[in-house]
Parts: sequence; C-alpha cells; structure tokens
Amino acid sequence: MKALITSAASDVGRLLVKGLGDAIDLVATDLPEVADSVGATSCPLDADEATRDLVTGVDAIVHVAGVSQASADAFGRADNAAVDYHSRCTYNLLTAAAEAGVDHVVYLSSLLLFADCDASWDVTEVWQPRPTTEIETMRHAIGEFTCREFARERKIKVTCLRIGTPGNKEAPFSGDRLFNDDLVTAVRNALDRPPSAWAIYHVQSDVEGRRFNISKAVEVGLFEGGRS
Amino acid sequence: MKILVLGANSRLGPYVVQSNQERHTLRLADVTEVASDHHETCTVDLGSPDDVLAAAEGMDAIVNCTVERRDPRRAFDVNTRGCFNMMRAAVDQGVKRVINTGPHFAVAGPSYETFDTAMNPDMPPHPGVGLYAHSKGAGQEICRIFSTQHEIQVLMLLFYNFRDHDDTEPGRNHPFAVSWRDAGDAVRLALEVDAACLDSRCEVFNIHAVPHGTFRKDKALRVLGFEPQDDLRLAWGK
Repeated sequence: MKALITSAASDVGRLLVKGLGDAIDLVATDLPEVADSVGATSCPLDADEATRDLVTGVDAIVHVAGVSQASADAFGRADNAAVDYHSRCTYNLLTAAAEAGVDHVVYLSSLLLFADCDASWDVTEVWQPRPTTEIETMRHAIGEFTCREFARERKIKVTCLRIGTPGNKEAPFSGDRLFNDDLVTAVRNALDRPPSAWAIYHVQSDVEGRRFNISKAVEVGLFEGGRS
Repeated sequence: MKILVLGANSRLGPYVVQSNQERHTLRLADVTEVASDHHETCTVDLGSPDDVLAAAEGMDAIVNCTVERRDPRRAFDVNTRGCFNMMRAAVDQGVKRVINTGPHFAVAGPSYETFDTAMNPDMPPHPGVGLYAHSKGAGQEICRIFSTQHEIQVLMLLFYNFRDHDDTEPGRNHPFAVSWRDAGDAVRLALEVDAACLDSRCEVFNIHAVPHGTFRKDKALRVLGFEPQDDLRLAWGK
C-alpha cells in the first residue's frame, strides 16, 4: 500500500511516519513553511496541479490535519489558518484524491468534540458532537463536516478516528490519553479496513479513569485498547 | 436597531436596504466601495478578521448577503472563513442577532434534491461537495456552532431562484422561487421576529413563493410571518 500522510512535521505526523514507515510505502507532505524540516513534500493544498500530483498513485491518505505555528503565522492568524486548512485545504485534498481514484482517507479528528460532555456519560460514536468555538476543538468539527460530505456522496471512503490526547506512558494523567503506540496501531489497522463509505471510531487508551467508550474500535480490531 | 449589512453590493443587498432603511439604521459594507447618500458605508473583506470586527462595532444585528460561487479560494474565504470572522466579531462586539443567507443546497444538496420532496429547512444539512454549496454549508455549520456557545440568535434564510417582481416572462417553472423584494422583506422579518418565537438559537428557513411542495415553506409563514406579496404565477402556472 502507498499512503500519503499530511502534516508530517507535526508531532503526530512525525510519530506516524516513524511508526508506519516499515509497513507502508509512505509519502509525507506538509505546508511549505515546515515541510523541509522533515524532508516532506511541500504542498499548500490549493486547488491546483500540485495537489493533484501529490495524490497521484496513492492508495490511501492519512489526513493528520494539523497546522504548525509557522504556517499559522504565515497565514496571519491561527484561528483563520485552522479554519482555512480544515475547510478549503481539506476540500482540495479530497477533491483531488477522489478524482485520482484514491480509495480511502483516514481523517484524524479529536475527542475534544465531546470535552463539554459530563464525565459520567458513556459517550460513544452515536452521540452528537458538541464542539465549542475554541479553534482547537472547532477545527475538527469543520474537518469532519468536509470529509463526511465526500463520503456521503461516495466520492471516497473515509474513516474518521476521533483520537484522545497523544502521549507516551510517562506523560501526565489525562482521561482521554492515547498512548503513541496505540495511535500508530489504530491508524495502521484503519488503513487495512476501509469502510463502505464512512465510519467513525473513538480511539483512546484503556487507562485508569478512561473518559470515552472505545468498544467499537476494539471490536473491529483497530487496537486492543492499550491496557497492559 | 443598528444593522450591519455585509455584501451590500450583492444582488440581494439593495433589496435588504430597501426593506429595512425606514425602520432601522444601516451600515452598508462590501468588499467593493459602497455608494450611498443615506447610510454609513465601509469597505470590508470578510476574510479579514480586523475588517469585520471594526465593521460590527456598535451594531445590534448583522445581515450577511455575501457570496462567492466560483473561485476555489475566495469561495472558502467568503462563504466559510467569512462566517467564522463574522461570528467571532459578533461575539466580540456583543451583536445579538445574525441573519445569514445562502443557497437552498447549503442544506438540501444532491443527496436530498435528487430524490425527495417536502424538504424542510430543519433536515440535517447535506450540502454535498459542490464548491458553492459545500463552502456555504460549512459557513452555516460554523454559525450554528457559535450559536450553541454564545447568546447570539442565528437565522439562516435559504434562497434558490430570484425573479424581478415585474417579470412577465412565463415559464421557468422553478420549485424554489421568490421575488427580490419579497426576499428583502424576509430579511426584515427575520431581523424583527421576537426571540421568544424561535425554538433555538439557530433556525433555518426556506424562503420562496411557489406552491410546488418540493421545499416546504410553512415554517417561514408560521415563525416569521412571511407571506410573499409578489405573485409568481406566471412562472409556474399554465
């Protein structure tokens, strides 16, 4: 399998490039301000030939969808940069991918969409997201909105992984902690299991005090939940 | 009421002005220079947060008539990110009501329109992946999210086909048509409707004047009191 991974210079991007690189033929990309720092292909994800070239010959895309500080600075404002990336850039990427015959996109969303829910609720994938207007949360709502329409119209298959807060096992406690190795495992397995059109999974590690229900992801074999 | 009209130079903008100027104080804004002897004017690029923030200062309400249909960058700059900047400015300036306008397919995209009738404005939005519909649908979703978090009333008015009120050309039997001046009146009704009459802080309305039943219009009558004055029978009758 040949897969494109976006935002390769981000922390999550670097983690996935390192973790997936042995098993998958990866093409890494990021926005021009930071792509060179990790040897990734520079692409602003405009509606043009460069984006079409980027997805040509690719079987799947891991859309990490993070905007670096340098790219946000170049845009002018971080909130506007995030809105632009999760709407326009994501739209351009998926449009080009659909036209090029790419089969599957794994979009990394966030469990922050449910941060406002009461901790006593058993929040699963069938709950309606409750995004706030904090851009770190809202950007994922916009990204999901964009991806969902491409999946709904059967332009491309989309797996939406709403992930917890990534970190290693020494990281401070977080109720939505997602250990780095669980994240890599879940993305790798998601790439192997494209849905018929659209699928959502909540992905966090099975830590003590785990905040979110992960049984759907565990049942389909995305990962084991991470409790060792 | 002090009202900021974004997109005052759009096709709809002048009809919004015409319907509201005797009852409200208007500030007319557009990305191009606005000519008016009667109203305050300013130049605003919706892609600029600072422009929008300054334009919204001291306003009670914002009417967004802006639109970009074709350019792949500007469509998102105006229709999507523009809504974000408008809502951010509304929060920061204490604006309590926003009237956002857009095409019917910001809600009823191809996956509805190809198959259904009796489509009501409260359906889950399925704009699809067309540039115009999708970018407007994303903008409306941003407005909705803001309304869940802040004390701002968002009323989304959906339009499709406009006709001049004195257009006598028969035919063009369109299932979602309204005259320009009735559209302007619908915006006025949305500005003036009592918040107590609204079920939530984000309400969507189909605004048209035809009897096809493809798109339901009863909510606009029931909630806004919208009764089109211009008879479009020439367009849909024999």
